[in-house]
Amino acid sequence: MIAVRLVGERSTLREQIFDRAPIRIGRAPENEFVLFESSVSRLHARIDQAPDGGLVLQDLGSRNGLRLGTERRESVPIAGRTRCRLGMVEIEIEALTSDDTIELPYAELRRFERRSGVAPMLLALLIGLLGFITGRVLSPALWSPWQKERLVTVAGGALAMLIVLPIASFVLLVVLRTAGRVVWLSDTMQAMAWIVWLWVLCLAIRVPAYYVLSPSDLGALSGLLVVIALVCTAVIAAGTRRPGPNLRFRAIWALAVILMVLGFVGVGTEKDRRSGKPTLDFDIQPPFFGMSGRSEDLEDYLGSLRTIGTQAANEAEQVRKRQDHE
Amino acid sequence: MERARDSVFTVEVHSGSSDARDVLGSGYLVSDTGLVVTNYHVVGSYIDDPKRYQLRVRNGQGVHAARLLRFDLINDLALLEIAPIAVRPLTLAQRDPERGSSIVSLGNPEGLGLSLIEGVFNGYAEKGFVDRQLLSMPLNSGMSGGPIMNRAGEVIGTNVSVIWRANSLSFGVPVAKVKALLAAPSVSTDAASLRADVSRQLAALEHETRARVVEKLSHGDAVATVAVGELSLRRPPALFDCWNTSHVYEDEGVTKRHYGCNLQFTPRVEKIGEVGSVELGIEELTSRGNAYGFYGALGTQAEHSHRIKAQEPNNGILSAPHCEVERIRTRYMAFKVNTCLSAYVKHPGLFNGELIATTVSRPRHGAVLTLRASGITLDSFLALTRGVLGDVRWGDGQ
Repeated sequence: MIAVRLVGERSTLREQIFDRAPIRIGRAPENEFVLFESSVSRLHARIDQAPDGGLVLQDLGSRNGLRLGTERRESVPIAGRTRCRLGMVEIEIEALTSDDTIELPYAELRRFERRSGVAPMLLALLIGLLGFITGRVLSPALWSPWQKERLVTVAGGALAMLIVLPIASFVLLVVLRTAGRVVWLSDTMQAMAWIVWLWVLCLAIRVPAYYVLSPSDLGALSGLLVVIALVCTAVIAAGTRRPGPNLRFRAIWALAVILMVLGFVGVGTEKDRRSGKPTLDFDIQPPFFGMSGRSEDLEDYLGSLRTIGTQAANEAEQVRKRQDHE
Repeated sequence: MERARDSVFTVEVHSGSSDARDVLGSGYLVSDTGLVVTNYHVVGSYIDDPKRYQLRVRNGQGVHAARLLRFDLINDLALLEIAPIAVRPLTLAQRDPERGSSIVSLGNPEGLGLSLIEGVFNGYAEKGFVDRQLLSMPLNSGMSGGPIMNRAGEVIGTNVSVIWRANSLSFGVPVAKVKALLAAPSVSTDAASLRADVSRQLAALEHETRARVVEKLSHGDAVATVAVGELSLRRPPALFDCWNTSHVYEDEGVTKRHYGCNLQFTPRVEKIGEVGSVELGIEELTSRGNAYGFYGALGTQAEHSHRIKAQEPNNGILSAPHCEVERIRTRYMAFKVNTCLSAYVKHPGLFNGELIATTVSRPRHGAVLTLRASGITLDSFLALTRGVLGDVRWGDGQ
């Protein structure tokens, strides 16, 4: 069986199924697949059985020719779904086999059915909200002895979340739609809900790490977590579900975002390094359930100060040598 | 005044042309052989770069080329030499005048013309690293290096500085320091020798800082303590100038109590800035409000305390700051400490150091401790850190 489709901007406009080749395509009514378009010749092209058993589309001396992409071709072998242009018209040819049907998981089907409803949006909102509250509860600042208004803090934050999540989802929706992706608000809201949980996951790693690692190791870990979270966010945003197979498009989109983010981070870090800007952090976390974090003995710290002092002196000596040279 | 008129000079540092004057100060003749006393800071740019600048002095009789003989940057004095001229030098007084006795100062304010200013001698400043005469008289810039004289017309000191915004409080260098400079050996005036001499004097200054400040702050158990809110720390030696302030931030529900100390009259070296300074600050923050207000105030406090960060990197004078952040515990407390060190390019072994320690180890109490020192050796800075940080504690000993 052979399917021949007339393809429009976003969807198939007409499909005809044939038992066997040859199939003639053109403007004249005696063709098997008629394309009534002025740029198509009366007898434009024909699908033939190739000697190797496959199919091939042949140009029959048409005025505007046969094109694969922008390239003009005398004949085009058919492999999988093959799209080509006859004049101004785009058609898709596919040899159909009996094992082409894929099994659709029930969950996918449900998702497909429900995605435009209000219920999945509410569910996404709930997931996001739960994530936010979990994150707040995980943060030591909430449990610090200085915090007196725990409930107000959590409730206020949750209320803000109820507003922020839909707005962020809408922004993502606009971005994806602009990029030509067919997604719905419920899709982006779900993506946003997972992004909230990503933040929770980072906190769940970072908070205990604060009490175990030294500040410099913690700084490295935090940087790493930020990069990983950004990459994951990009992947989630780019991978937001779209019906139909388009893995390559998604992959390229995600890769572009990741490269951009890494580029920004890299340029910023390099700029700071070159300008000699010291890395300072004043991250002060309160004791969390009695833990106040790993600490070093004062004498050990003085030892590491001696090391950086020596480094500074070496650097100064190099500058001095350079100045004397000039 | 008429008698002294020609013995007082305008001192100019210029870069070749006869009109351009890059720095302007005053000076006075102290010997028949043509020795002229002025301030180090007047001729500082020449000492820093003798190839680029030249020295000359000017009095009612004309302009004379001058040569640098030696300088004392700690007391802010320099000795120049000109070809002998037929002018009677000023006599140096044998003793200080009585407190409250009237004095006069001569100089050339802003290069406008020789001026005489009357004032009162008030003895010596109680605080500070070097001896400074307290004078009630409105000195102006350009009068630096001019003589301060008693009623008999004898030199008792050299003009050195004024307090900004204070109307008529000025300072003088006692004449004994001039006598010491006159007795000291001369230096050669090539760039390398001058730099070596600056290094030598900075090392001497560091030695003195170590003996008078570092040892006192770092050795043994604290005898006297000072309380800042509920914090207690070792009382700094008497030569420090210390002050208390407190402030309530109603919106954040945060109360700040600050105790700061520094050394007055620390020398300023051309291009490097203040050297031999030691600055100590402790700030206690108490919170009545929510955690975020408190953290905000504490974080801002710590962030604002960092000054070395603002220094221009790779300026050819100091190395880039090298910093180390760590959470540390002392005998009494736990801190998060951030220390940055910059090494002097031209004077090996000397550093600027800055330490900011923050603690939140106690409910509703936080503290930010700052320690800054300039022109100090690594050993001295570490000893200071050990002494100051190791001794801070909550008042009830917990």
